[in-house]
Amino acid sequence: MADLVTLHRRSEVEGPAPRTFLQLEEGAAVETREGAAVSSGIEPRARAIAEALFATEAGAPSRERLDWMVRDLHHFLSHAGGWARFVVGACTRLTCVVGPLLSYKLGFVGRSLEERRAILERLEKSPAGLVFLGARAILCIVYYEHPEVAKEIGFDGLCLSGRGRK
Amino acid sequence: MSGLTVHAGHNHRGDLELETDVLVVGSGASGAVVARTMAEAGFRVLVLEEGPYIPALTHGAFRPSESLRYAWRGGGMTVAFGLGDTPAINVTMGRVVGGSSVLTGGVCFRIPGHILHTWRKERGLTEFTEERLEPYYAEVEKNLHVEEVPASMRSRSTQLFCEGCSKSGFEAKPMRRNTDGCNGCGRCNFGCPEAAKMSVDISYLPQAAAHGAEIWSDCLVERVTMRGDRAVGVEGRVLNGPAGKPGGTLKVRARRVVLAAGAAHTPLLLHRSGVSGVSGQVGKNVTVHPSFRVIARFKESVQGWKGSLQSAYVDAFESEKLTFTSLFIPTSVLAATMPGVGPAHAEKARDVSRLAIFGGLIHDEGGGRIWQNPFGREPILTYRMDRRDRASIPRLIRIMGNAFFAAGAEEIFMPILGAEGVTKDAFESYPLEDVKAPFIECSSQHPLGSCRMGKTREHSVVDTFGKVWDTRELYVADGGIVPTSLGVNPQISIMTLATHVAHNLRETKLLG
Repeated sequence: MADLVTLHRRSEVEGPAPRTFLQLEEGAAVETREGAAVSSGIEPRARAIAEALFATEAGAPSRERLDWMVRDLHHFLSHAGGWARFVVGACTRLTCVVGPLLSYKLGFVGRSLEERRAILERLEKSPAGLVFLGARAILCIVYYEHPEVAKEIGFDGLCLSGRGRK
Repeated sequence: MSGLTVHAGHNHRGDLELETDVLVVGSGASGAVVARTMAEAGFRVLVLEEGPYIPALTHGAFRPSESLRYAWRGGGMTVAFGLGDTPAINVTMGRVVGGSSVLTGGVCFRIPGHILHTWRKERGLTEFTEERLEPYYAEVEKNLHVEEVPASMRSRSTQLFCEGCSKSGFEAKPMRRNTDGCNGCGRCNFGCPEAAKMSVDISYLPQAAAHGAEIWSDCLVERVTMRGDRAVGVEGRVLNGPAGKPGGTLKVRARRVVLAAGAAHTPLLLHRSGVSGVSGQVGKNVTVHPSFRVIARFKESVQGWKGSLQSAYVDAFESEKLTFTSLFIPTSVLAATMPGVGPAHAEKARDVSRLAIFGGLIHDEGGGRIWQNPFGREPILTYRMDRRDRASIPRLIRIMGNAFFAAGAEEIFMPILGAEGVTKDAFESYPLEDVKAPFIECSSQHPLGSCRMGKTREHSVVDTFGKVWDTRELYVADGGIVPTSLGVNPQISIMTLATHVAHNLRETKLLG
């Protein structure tokens, strides 16, 4: 007879992986299964896109927030299945290739923040905008789950911990 | 709290061989109904689920992206490729014990009377009358605790749209949902913090287990084992390999096999098992209810996450094959829909607490198809939108936009890639009819009809009791058997038809 299901609760994860979300308390459940390998090319591309996408008047987001996002994106991709890895990998790659071409340029990651922002703006409004949508959707979902970012956009964190009873 | 015990294939070492009377492939809305009915009747029942088991309260403590990575097929990124003048459609499905019932907003509609009339008149399905289905509805609605959402539970987002409806000359109606003790957290699709949404993992499956049904997670069924025309079990893989990949082999001997893997995957199982029948209809006729959202920014604070996720609907445009339902999406997902890059995007994202949202779906014709994927295990979905359905998209967006402006919205965001928010004047003159399909954002949560039931083997995949034509002891019970689009959220319809199938199975003696 097989073991009964075990979805462990744990209070810590290896390294500083992002587990908290406002009221989501330490000890919230996470699955402990081993994740699949993630292509090493995705993370630098995702970081380059995110820096431009989430830049404010004050400049690029803090390194801490981007590190948080990249770590959680890695965790997402390692657990969300092969199709998700393919979609995110393809969309980030195409964003970094097609985007510059639409602006008559080559290369994306090494460009300045302002150049990347302009490239993404043009890509967003082009017929290839679906490619950028695929990348920005998951980047936004993860980025805006950062506790401080969530607060900044006005989310009060209600009902995120199973203790949201009125 | 649910009292559900699940055997985790993930933790099983090596190969797995099992034997049972009734094997149910898939633990979602329909599979759970069959499992419970057959277990209560005294049959040995085994349920196999490809996805993991995530206890309801555990899921309710997830961040939205954690829910996506663990419980949604393909991380929520599964797509139907649009053919011709059709947008790509994000078709979401569950891959978890409880299936897509775990990911719904809990919306409960019965099969509309005019749909049943069409089934009887055009397809000869004379047994499907409201009177004959009533006991099945009653059973399902009692087990799921279907209740009307009181107006007091409506979010401000929904209230604003309803105000706009009234000012526009039509009314929103209260919705029914399968909840018990809903606290209005507005995040049902990503797990309920109170386990108040009565998805089948906390309703039907525990009842099935209490009557002896065994439920296994992490078990991937690849084909039905056929002996001549008779189903005698299944083969597949246990997902106990490194990183959740297939590991040991899975073999189950069963006297009866019921496929409930969902409208996208059951056709593949039939194809792989060499049971495609003479009709050529397996995997065809797929309807998806193409769905579109309109987001509106108000001057006031909306905080649309406070209140029932879905609480009202509009059927005033049923004659145009359009249905509108309230909804909300987590703030992180909402922020993702805001256009722009850099400061322009950040400025809009900071307004999520002032955003309201409503959704509309098209009661579509069956233009979808499930294909075997030559490069992998997951199916390929294609969808060609009917010309009339395609023409309905601008109309649908206009109705929602006008309602929001009638309620005082400052600007609205349409489901158009790269489009900025538009004011009332700009919206009235916006050339919606000229927007090309690749620019339209479309989603679906309701794939149906890929193994439709019917009266003749030439035009359908299964008979009216779900039995695959020209086979013995092989049945389909999931949304694939729904013969046409419904025009409303299908959970109750699927479970009612599964109850119809299960009651017949309960009375049908197993072959020796």
